[in-house]
Amino acid sequence: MSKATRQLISYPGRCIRRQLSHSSSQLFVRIRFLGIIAGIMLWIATGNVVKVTKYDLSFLHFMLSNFNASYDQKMASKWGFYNFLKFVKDHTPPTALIVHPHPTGLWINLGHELLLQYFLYPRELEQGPPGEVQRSGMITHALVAWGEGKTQDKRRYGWPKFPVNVRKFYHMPSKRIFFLHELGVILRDSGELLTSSGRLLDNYMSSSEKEIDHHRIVELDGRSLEHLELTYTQNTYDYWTKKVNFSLVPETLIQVKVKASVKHSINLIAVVEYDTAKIAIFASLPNRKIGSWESLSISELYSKAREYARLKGWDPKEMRITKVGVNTGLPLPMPYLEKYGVIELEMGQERESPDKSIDHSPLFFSQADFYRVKGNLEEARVNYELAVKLYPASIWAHYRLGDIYREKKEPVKAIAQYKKTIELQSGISWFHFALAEVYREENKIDLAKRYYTEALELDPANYWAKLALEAISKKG
Amino acid sequence: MLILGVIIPTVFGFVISLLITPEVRFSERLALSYALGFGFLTLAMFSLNVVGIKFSLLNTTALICGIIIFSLVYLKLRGRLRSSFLFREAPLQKLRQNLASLSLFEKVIVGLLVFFIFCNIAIALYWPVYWPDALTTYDFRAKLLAQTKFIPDAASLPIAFSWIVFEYPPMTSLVHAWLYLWGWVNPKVFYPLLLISLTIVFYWSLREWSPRYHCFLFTLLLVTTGYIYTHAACAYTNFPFAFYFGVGTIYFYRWIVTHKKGFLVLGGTLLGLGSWVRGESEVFFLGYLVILIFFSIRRRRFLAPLLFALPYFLIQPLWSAYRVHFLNFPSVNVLPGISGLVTLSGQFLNFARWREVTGFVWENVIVYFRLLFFLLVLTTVLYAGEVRKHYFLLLILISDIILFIVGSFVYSLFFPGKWEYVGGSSRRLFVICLPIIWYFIASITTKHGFSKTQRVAKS
Repeated sequence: MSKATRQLISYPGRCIRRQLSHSSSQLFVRIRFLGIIAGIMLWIATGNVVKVTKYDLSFLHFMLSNFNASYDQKMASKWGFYNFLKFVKDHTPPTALIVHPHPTGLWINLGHELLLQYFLYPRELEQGPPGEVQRSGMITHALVAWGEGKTQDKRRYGWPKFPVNVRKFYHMPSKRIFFLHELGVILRDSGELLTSSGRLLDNYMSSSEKEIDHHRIVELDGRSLEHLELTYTQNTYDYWTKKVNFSLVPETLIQVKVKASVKHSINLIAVVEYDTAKIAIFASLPNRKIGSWESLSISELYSKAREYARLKGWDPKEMRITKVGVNTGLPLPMPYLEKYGVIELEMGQERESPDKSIDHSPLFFSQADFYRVKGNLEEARVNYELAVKLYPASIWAHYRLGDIYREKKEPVKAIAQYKKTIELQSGISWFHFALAEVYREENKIDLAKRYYTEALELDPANYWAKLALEAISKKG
Repeated sequence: MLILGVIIPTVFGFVISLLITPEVRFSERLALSYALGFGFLTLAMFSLNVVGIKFSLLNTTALICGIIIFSLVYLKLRGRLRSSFLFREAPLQKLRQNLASLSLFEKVIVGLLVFFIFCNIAIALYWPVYWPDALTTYDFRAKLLAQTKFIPDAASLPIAFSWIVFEYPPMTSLVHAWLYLWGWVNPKVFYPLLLISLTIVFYWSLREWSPRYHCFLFTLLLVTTGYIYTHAACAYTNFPFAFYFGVGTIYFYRWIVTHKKGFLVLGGTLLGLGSWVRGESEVFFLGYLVILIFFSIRRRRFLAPLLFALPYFLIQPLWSAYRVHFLNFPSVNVLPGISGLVTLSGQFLNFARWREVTGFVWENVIVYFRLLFFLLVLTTVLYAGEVRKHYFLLLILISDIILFIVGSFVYSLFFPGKWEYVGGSSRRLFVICLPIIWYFIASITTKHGFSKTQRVAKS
């Protein structure tokens, strides 16, 4: 068979094969298209569209329900602490240098200097203790931050847990609700209440920033009670009183029954006027309960007033109680218990001369702080002592007296003052630490260890107590 | 007045686009104008500072207007200024015709695109800058810049970690500052408009060789990719960086295909602007340069590498040099990196580290974008014949992925103990490859077997 014949015979086969090959190629291209483009691409596109729609909805929901929201509202919805930092900005001058916690643990955001800087600029920032604090002498304010997130160990919350020289403490609005009953003067022998709570108290003297939400007489269980609902953003003291006029005699007892929403937020006060028109305000211990009735009274007022007159060189012959009432603006034992705020530090800066016509504990305490910062320890001591005379439960006056005695190398007095502080407020780690420090200086290692351990139990993050205990155990 | 803050840079960009490339469609040019305009606006603001002048609104606008006028005169003299660049014939009527000609499938996709872009704009405009790094670095720096209008003044303010705040290239901060100066309360408007630019440029770049429905589908896929979409509504640098890098790469590739000189310059310029947004583009650019040199030698286009590299290297070193010489901050440019690399060169044969780094990239990037990578591999295998037509694009993509791994390895040498914890950052950086990957997949899958009627746009 010739070559030409063979080609002629095989021609139809070749055509069929070529055609088949072309068809299968086309088939492959079409299947590929259906699989890749129509299948996978559309599947991915659908997935993307669903995801993006979900993303949009997560924003649009808030947007539609808060269409006219302000910048602050929007930021507050994204940053839980935004309102707090705005509050700090509103309560500090642009020139402030603010000390803040380390960006760890519960303060991962509130200690983040770059983040704080964005919200607080042009205020400057400095990382606080533990560790060396740069520009410590120039710091004007301290941030007070409870901490974000959740922790099993509630003792870890709160910053700063070390003493700070407070001049003014602005905190986020905190509400205090009080019910008062049977405020008055009792003659101990007869047990007769000489005044009643029938009339509303007047806001007598105040160093506070507050909103009065309610102030009224309410009837409860057939009793007339005075109801006070106050929202504070700053409270050094806030006296609510009614006028009375009784001679102060040894049998005089002042008392009130209170029900308060916050522990350590109210105490009883009595205004005593001396013959020389000098006036002093005496205060009781603060309330210890939350949401249940308790009696507050000023014991031994007569002897206290006489003792105070003697100290001041006044004549105690004719002493009269001219006002009785309550201090609803009692500061909490530690600033961090208010959770969030900013402290303006006492740096001995110039101040308006305070009204010295009426003696009361916060006035002396503030003067004492001023003198202490200025380095005039003796004047500071005198003022702290006076503050304690008028308000024996002044924890921080006792603590500072302890500091001054420690500095003056009078450890016995320092120990006594620190012990008094712990007796008045046993739950503050730093007071135990301070006492331990004096014991360590006195080489009473066992006692020091005991108090360091207590300090650590109250605050497991007490860095200084940890270090001290390590140092003691190293020494053996 | 607010709108002028957006229009002025766009007009500026329009003129620059005319100078660089006369060969694009009107809508594509408009999209490019926005991106180029803001890029060059910030360079103009920066230049004013370099010569000691504050970038106030007046100074910057005057400079820009001057450049626009000179450019228009130049274009006129060269006969390159045609009214068709500016005035379209009955654009609304044309748009209506185009919309009417869409198939149902295309209409659905266009509808989705419009809906998502609208949502993106709404989200970006409603929400202020609130993402952490955007606040602490880029927007904070922008506020300082808007306040002082002078970079050295802003950098000398008593702020914490000023070397960090002023470490990254300044483009997005200068954009924010510009918008603040024009009275915008929320500078995030810049980002979703850039997303619109990306949408248009990507669509038209694909339209060179793909049918319309195909382009719409892949544009939708790109726009709705999580990292692209979400980052276009926040004020991070990842999206603008992805835009300039991705679009620059696409134009670079379009030059390889079309040989239109303007695309090459545009590619180099956009990649340069990418380095003006973030500092990680150098290594990828060097990879492109190698590919380009290889291509140029084969095609005897010896000037091409110069045309490509010149705009990039005119922009790229500006910020690091400025930081060192004008702001007195320590250098973070590539040179100490090279000397450091020499020191650490012994580590390059550390195979255990290579394995760790590869595992890191696998876990944090490839697994995260697994669907996209799966699709990339699958389409590359199934469309092997088409890949041959776009093998330079594949080369570009491979170079990006390899250099990404190499970059991660080098980072691990410089930051031992830290590099394992930057998975999120690594993933965000990889966003620059997303437009390129989608572009590649779209390009190779164009042929679908029903090709008798499929039409591509005229270039």
